[in-house]
Amino acid sequence: MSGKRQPLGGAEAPIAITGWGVVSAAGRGMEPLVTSLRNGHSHLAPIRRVNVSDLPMQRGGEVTSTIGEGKARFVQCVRLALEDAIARADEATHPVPPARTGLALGTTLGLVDELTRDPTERISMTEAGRRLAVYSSITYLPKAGSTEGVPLGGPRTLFSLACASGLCATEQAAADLAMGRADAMLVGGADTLGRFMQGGFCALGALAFSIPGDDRHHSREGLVLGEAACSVVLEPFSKARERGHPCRVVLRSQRLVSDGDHLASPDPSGGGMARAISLAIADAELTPSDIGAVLLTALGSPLHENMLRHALETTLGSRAREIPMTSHELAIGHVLAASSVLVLAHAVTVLEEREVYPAFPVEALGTDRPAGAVTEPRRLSQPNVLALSVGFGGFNGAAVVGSA
Amino acid sequence: MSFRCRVSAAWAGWIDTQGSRRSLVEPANCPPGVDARNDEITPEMFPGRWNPVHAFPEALEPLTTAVGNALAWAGWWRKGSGESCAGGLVVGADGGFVSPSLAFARQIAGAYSPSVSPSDFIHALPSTAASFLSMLYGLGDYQATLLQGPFSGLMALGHALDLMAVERLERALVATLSVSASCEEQAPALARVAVAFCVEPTTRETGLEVELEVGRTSHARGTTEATRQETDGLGERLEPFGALAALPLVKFAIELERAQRRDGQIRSTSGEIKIGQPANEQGESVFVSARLL
Repeated sequence: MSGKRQPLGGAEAPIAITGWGVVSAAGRGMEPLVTSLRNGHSHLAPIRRVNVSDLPMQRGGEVTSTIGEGKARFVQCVRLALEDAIARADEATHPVPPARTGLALGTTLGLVDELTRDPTERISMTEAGRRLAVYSSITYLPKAGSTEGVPLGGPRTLFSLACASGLCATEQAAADLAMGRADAMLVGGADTLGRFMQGGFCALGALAFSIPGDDRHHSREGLVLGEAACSVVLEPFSKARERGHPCRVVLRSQRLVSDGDHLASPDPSGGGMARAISLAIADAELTPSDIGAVLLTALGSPLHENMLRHALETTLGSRAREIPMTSHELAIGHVLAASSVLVLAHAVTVLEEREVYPAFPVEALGTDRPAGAVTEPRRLSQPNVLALSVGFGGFNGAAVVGSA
Repeated sequence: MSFRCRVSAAWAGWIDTQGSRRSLVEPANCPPGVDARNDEITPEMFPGRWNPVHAFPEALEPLTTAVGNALAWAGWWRKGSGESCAGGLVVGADGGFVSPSLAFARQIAGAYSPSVSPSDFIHALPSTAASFLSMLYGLGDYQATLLQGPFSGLMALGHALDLMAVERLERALVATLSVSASCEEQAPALARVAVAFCVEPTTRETGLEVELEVGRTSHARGTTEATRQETDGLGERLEPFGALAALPLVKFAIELERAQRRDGQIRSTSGEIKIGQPANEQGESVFVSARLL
């Protein structure tokens, strides 16, 4: 079961990443996020949109621009990310055909904010179920200049595997491409930050703490949540080339492994993540020496950081101390289900710019990490990036993204 | 695209009405699945994986029962062994997390208290059913949870078949849990129905050999092809609870069992069973069909 598998996309492999779109606390697009990382600028701030003043942690990475208030903020974020992803993929001689495009989306809690909009409201279980239905809310492909967008002709699938949801979406998308159901697949991940999510993570004791009287800083140990939507466009490399896309980056492999250890926490030994990393590198027919950078998620949580450090040291050996590591979370927080898709978009940027910023060593992970262990940007030495993501409940994901 | 495989299946379900529980599984009318019995699955059967002092979470009880029986029949797991079980896990989540979500939303709506229960939040996540099954049965491979309302069950089976067809998964446990409240105000009731399929390559000897297909259509014509006996009123009994994701798969498991057992022998003809879920507001529908081999 843990042996080598067919490549993502089967006979249609390799799969190219031809477009990406992000909406996060840094703004709309990868550029503001990358600029923030380069300049060491954090968008983590007191949460303003919802009242969390009574929670132990009041800071997070809110999307403060481009999104209107009101119902289905989640859907608005997703649509913008999809629109930007498809616009970038359309930068070719021929655009992506909507009739042959599908969507695979992942979310931890989707429209859950719809349950807490009015604290005095008493709704039934049936009504709650109706409000939480994400699947029926995104049936059109958003297009710039079109209010409604164009109907998505390909398959649509919705997954929830906590912060690893995007990995399931990627698997389904690759299978849909391999089976000829679509020529292009949008893979998305999204979650918004409301009282439900922030309160839930506070109850788990997983978040950092606000410091009374200081709304510019928070305690160091613990996650800081952010909200985001991210989408990438996956296409068979050959088909994307046929329509004139430059196809500079491919998704070489991906593995999702479960710890089967605990309902909430990761296996502290990092065994599950180590397995995911080893298998992903082997599937890509690479060795640790071919990896030029590692992208991480779930930073701040000592439990996850220790797990990641163990897994990286186990699988990469001495390379773990040489490969530069970084994370979008330094600027926008842990963006839940958007994480596992955002690491793919981030990997594309790292590969295109051939630079990792900020970069820190594996020693910076774990309970012994030096405060703010961030060093100067580093050049990418190898054309492959290992993108890691973790999901609440012991889900470990590893993907290898490389230059075509 | 159809996929040739072997399946074992089991289901469990009951309706809770004002404190009393009525099982939906009546052996005389509704077989328990393909090759499956309806044994009770208890906390003592998971040494090292579950503290037997604690009962299973009530919301996940039928899922645990269906999965345990399906896995045991497929020979993937032995009761009481505590061993890990190899294989992918794909869960269809339909309503099981809604009631906990609503309860947590109410809890968190007032002033935050340190006594807010972390476990209430955990059970509000649609993916917790998969985490729970993974921990209990030691499923350490690929996992996914489909979140598509009444389509979740069929789509979960479809996802697993897709990944097996493209050789990303060798075998998969597909499980679906539906929890739904009835709309009847006079006698409010809660239905919990779960079904599990073990799907594996034809090289194995357990289960029934079939050619399976999960298809999607995007027109309102619908694919709900009523099965031969409408599974003896199961659909009618569950009608007040709306379209349940688990129901088409329960009917499918029952029909496969009947087809296999008819006249005491496995059918050799190319009989086909096709069961679907009614079309949604967008006119989409999903179906599963099987050709018995």
